[in-house]
Amino acid sequence: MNKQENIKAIEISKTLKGRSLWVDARRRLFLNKAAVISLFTLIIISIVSVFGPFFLQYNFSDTDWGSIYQPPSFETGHYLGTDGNGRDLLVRILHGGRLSLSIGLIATFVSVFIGVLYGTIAGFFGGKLDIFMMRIVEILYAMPYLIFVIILMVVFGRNIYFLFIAIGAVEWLTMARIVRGQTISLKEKEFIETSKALGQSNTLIIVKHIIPNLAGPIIVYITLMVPSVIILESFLSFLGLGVQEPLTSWGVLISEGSREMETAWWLLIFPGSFMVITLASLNFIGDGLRDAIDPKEY
Amino acid sequence: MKDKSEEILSVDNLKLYYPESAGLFKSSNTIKAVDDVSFKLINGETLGIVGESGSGKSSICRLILSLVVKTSGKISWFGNDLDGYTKKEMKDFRKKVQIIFQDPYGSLDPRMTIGSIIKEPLDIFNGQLSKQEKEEKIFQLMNDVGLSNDLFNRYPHELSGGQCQRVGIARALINEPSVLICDEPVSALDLSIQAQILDLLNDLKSKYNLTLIFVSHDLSVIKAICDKVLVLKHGIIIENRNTDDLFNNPKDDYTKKLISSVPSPIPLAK
Ligand SMILES: Nc1ncnc2c1ncn2[C@@H]1O[C@H](COP(=O)(O)OP(=O)(O)OP(=O)(O)O)[C@@H](O)[C@H]1O
Ligand SMILES: [Mg+2]
Repeated sequence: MNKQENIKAIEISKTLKGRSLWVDARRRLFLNKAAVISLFTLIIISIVSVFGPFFLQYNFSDTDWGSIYQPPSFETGHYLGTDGNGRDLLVRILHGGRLSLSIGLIATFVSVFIGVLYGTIAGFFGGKLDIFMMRIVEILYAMPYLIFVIILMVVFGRNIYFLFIAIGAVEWLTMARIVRGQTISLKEKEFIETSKALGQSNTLIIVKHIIPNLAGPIIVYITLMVPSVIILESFLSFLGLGVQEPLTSWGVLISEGSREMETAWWLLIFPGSFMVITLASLNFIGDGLRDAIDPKEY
Repeated sequence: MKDKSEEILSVDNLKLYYPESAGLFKSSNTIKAVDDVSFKLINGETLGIVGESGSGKSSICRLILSLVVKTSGKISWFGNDLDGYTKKEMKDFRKKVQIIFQDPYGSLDPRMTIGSIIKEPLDIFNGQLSKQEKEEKIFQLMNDVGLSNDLFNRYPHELSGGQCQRVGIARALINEPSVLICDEPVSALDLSIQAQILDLLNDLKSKYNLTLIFVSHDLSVIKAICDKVLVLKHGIIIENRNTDDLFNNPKDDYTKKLISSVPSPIPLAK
């Protein structure tokens, strides 16, 4: 090939520029209607949860004995009704959303981060290190989960932010196992051997080849984990280990609402709807992302 | 100029044993994947390694590249024992000895574009090149191995098996190595494609002054391109001779059996 042809070829590559996995993935994600609508919905719910309470006339902790169990009504300004303490439900749902969403995302992020790191290292290096690391995971698995969280709470105090870490630190175990298994099957592939034969550093092999090829299962797992974390939080709160009154979360609102379902349906239906819409959106986003990062879906 | 009969690589009494983990009780059995193998690689020649499945062909390739840790023995590069190499010397060695594998798709990261796959060795060994210089080199290599430029931004699954194998060859040659190890590079391909790839390797061999180690379990392929052949059985070399010699006058029964089971010869434009 002569110089001129070379230059022409480079020109071609410039016009097609930026065809990398992540750029492609973003473009494909935005072509997926369900994923885009879900992303949009999730952003709206997040924004409304964060900023909505500032625009409402009621405070999430204001009790009003004159208006307990009010059904939804525009006249009173309790658009979604009130609870047994006369507190405005809408503002409580939005407040609960702040907590549920942030706990879902942060705890998931923490556990995915730890799990991916741990799993790739164990799987990639193998041998005694792998056996040792996986033994630790098995021991943690075998520990009664609740006792584990309670011990953590006792040692580090009952800080609400600590709840995030406590959940994340336990949820990473499954992630680590999944990632380890996938890494073991990946590292036998010839393209990893080629990279090793080139003297590529282990860190770069993991970052450039292993993790991008694990992105599919990781994303699927994230979309399963966010809901389970939100539900786990409500369980811990129910036991008195999570958020404390008057603070609340979706999980807490739903479990309270279900007890008063026959007298005040709105206490279950509205928080439940927020939760269901959020979880469904997460699901569609997850599906969309998984397809988007798979070049074969192109 | 290099001496034509210069010895590039020599392998002495190389062994690779795996402990056999079968059974409930710890057995003292070992799998002898490579057992006391010695040979020399002369500059410019094509050395064939042939043998049935499990005879240790791939193990020898992996040992040369230090992808597995040898049990014992010595591998020397221009007379210097690799064991004594510093990190930097090892890096130079890795630049000079490249490998291509059997599985055309498995050899390429499915999440990377063809361009970035071919670029990986440049990033490792030629980090100082500008982006444009790198691209120029990639396009030159793609041209040399017969890949059209518009494949630059494609993904491996969008290519045929033969094209994938060409990408693997381009990646192996981009840093101008002296030795190319081909571990059954055509076994997974259709016959017609096999001939094309073998022709290509032959052309590139002279263009890049390559010394080839060519692994196959198919003697017709070996006959078509190798100067010398090692016949391997259960990790042991049972014949180490010139190709013509071997085919005209096989000594070992095992070799005779391999030769008699040769299918139709590969039509090659030699
Ligand atoms: N990691 C390993 N652990 C245990 N045994 C192994 C391992 N790798 C290879 N072996 C054994 O070593 C022997 C040689 O394997 P090798 O892959 O070198 O054979 P091969 O000649 O390349 O075969 P093929 O033609 O099927 O590719 C085989 O018996 C194999 O089972
Ligand atoms: Mg093999």
